[in-house]
Amino acid sequence: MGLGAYIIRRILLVIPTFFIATVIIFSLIHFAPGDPIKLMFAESGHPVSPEIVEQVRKRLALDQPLYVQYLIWIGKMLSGDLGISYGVAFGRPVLSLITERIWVTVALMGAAEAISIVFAVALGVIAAAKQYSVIDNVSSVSALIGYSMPTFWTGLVSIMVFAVWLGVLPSFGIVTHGVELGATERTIDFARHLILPVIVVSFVYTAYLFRLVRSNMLEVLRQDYITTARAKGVGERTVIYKHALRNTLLPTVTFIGLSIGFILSGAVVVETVFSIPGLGSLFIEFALKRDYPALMGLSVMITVMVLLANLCADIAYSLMDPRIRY
Amino acid sequence: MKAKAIFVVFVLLLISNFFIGMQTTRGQEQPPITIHWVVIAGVTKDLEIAEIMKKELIQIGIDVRIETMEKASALARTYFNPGLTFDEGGMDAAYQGYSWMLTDYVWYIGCYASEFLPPIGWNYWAWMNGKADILIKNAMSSYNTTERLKYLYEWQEEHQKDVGTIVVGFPLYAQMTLKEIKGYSGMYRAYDAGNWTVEGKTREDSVAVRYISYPGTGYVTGLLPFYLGTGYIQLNTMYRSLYQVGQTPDGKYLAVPDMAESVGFSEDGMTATFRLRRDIKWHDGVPFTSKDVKYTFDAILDPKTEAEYYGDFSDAVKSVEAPDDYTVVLHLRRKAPELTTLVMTSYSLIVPEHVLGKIPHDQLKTSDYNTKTPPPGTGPYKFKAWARVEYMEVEAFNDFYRGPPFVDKLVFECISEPMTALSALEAGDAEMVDIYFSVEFPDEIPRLKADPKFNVESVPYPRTMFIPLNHNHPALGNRLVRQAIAYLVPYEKIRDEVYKGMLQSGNSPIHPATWGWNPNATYYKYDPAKAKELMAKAGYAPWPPPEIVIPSSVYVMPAVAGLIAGLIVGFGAGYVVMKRKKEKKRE
Repeated sequence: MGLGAYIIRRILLVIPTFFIATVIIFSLIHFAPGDPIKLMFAESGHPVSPEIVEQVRKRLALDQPLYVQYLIWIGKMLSGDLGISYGVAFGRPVLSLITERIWVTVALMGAAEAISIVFAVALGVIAAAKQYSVIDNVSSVSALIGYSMPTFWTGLVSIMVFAVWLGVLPSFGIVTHGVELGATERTIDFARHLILPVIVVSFVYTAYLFRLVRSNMLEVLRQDYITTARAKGVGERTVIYKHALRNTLLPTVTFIGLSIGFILSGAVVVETVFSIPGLGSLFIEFALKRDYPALMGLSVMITVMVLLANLCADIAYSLMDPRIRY
Repeated sequence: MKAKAIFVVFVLLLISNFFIGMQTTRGQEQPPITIHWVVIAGVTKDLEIAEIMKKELIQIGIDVRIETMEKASALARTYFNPGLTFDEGGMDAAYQGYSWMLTDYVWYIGCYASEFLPPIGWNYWAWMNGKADILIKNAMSSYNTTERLKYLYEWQEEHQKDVGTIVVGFPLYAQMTLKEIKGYSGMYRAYDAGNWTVEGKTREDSVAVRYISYPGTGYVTGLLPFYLGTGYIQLNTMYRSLYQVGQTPDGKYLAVPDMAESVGFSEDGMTATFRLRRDIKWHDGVPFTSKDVKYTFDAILDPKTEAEYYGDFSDAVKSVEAPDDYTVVLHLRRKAPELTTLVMTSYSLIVPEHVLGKIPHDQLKTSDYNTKTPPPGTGPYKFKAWARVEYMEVEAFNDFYRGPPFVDKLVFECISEPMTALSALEAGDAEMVDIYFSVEFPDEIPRLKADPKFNVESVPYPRTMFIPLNHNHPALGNRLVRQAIAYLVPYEKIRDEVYKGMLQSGNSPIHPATWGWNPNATYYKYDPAKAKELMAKAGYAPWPPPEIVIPSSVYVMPAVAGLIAGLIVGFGAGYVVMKRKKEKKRE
């Protein structure tokens, strides 16, 4: 089977996976205890008349059986309508709630991911090539610290050090409100707000990735073909960067593809700590209020992102290793 | 003959006691009463108090099972399954709090009455007390202040005696601002923003104040006051109501006129006439008239609007009339002595008729006025920008009828992580932090108080912290058991250890700083001896059962132990635990 056919088959496989995922997510969300309408009113701590509760329930079609609700939802979703959020901002389409915030999360996570990949791969290769050297020991210990520490804690400590004690970086948010700024100043302001959260996220992520790259590289370096290459008199640089690195990157790419979900769950914590209006904090808000359409919309968005990332990883995989065809 | 009969009876007694003894010694492991205590996951205070109570209540044979669950499930159990015990899907006990209106408690206390089960009232613990119900009804239907006070006082005493709920106390909140901010009372949140000043600045300077609000209290979900959710902090700067919170010279809170000048009630008490101020303008320059009030109240009273206030408001108000531009007449469904408080809340903030009048009521919720740009208000600040829940910006309205505000711009930022909010204040990224945060980090308050950069003052806040006990629970339905539990709450320990001193004790659900509080109602004090006495009175045997330790040589076989236990039980000592004394082995 050719590469083209493989890619097409792989893309087609995404569709049933997506539908199965939506069924699972839909039922999980609806089986969680708690009535969204009652929560909506109970939140205000204010007695409410039962007729209004029933009226709202009917309007939102929550009195229908679950499969009918699912069919209504999927029908709307296929025509590009993710429904209207009911707990958070009345009458706001879910799609606009998500698109309004997604760029923050994408900027935060994209930056963190890019920084992590660069650092982890570079450090991993050097550490493996010079095993037990100072650079190997230092980076291995830092990686151990990095992934042992909870993001929540590193986040709060970094705020205390850089915002409260040193006063060099802002303590929360993603932009400064209440001041008029020009385009350049606005960009600088945005970047300044991003520094701490990006460092906190990439610290953990680099640690994970570094350990993966290093151990894979060590394994590859012990292979016969590396010894053969060295025996042929190939230079050490070429051995590492051409023969070893390419093989090391295979599992790494898979890991990066799978980690989109991991990094989004990290976003939930980091966005809460830094009070960043991104998808993570939105997710918590929706989940606590049992905002079904909004939760479904967000889950679909994340499902699509994870599926696409895996698709890209699989394709990249087959491009890097010509032997791989499923 | 007689001696023989006595001997037979004695032997029969011994045999029967033997069986009773076996029975009772076997039934020992379980305390006689089990209650399930609902704790919301992640709320550390709830858990701490549940654990304290677990330790205390075992003294009187009550086994507290702590049931940790997510907020949604806990709410469903407590709020929406009124009167059901835990096994039936409700709750047996919990630790909860309610915030009240400062100015008139009667309306809220009404929610304790038997028929006020959720979702209309709060009485999910199903306190059914006919005497208390009548007292409340009387207090709610009298316009005579002295008479109302009398009924309220009696109600509080009845609540305490019958232990409707166990009042643990009122948390003290700390207002945290930079030293320069003056005129902030904390109590009203940003309601009095028009009075704030900043030291070292003049009226000509452009002054901005950044205020950190908490999602639970400063969460703007809709921009129209009908749907404000909990975002009243922000909306109160833009909109005003007919009455507002005021204070008597001795510090008690009451409703005082704001956009209204006065109110008068008809002879039969079923009609209220409000006279309005004539110098008020909307932010767009249009004069404020009775039409706006009529429009607002009509919209609340129409179920199609789905206003959060519909239930409470329509309970008291039947219809609204506006005979002339500065008079509003409310026709009432019942006598409503608390009417000035009813029209004072953030839910009854007045919105402009000339802007919203043409929108059908059922479209208000989804209109742009609720989701994008709010209509003009009459408050000291007008709307500038909004980003859903996370932030809102308002700027001074210089034609405000009480004079232009000193602070030109207010920026509200919503932060959910308390430590981040505190860092924002310390890092200088905000000037004020909502009083609500102080209960989240009581350990930090002394440090902040010592810091000359900040102004930290404890303020009373009308939030009642209490333990609702389900009156339908077979054991908790007994008044004596409830009283015993009330005597076993270590009030001082909770104040000092859980709240770090930021708790004021209480003797009724009514806050001491508010109108109607009865200073003479019973205070419960921690008193285990009294609790045990009450449990004995209620017919429960002492717990833990007295232990009788028998030397090994006597403890020949379980039957003998059972016999002795039976004898003791037979003589009325209740439960006993027989323990075999282990002799130390000699080396």
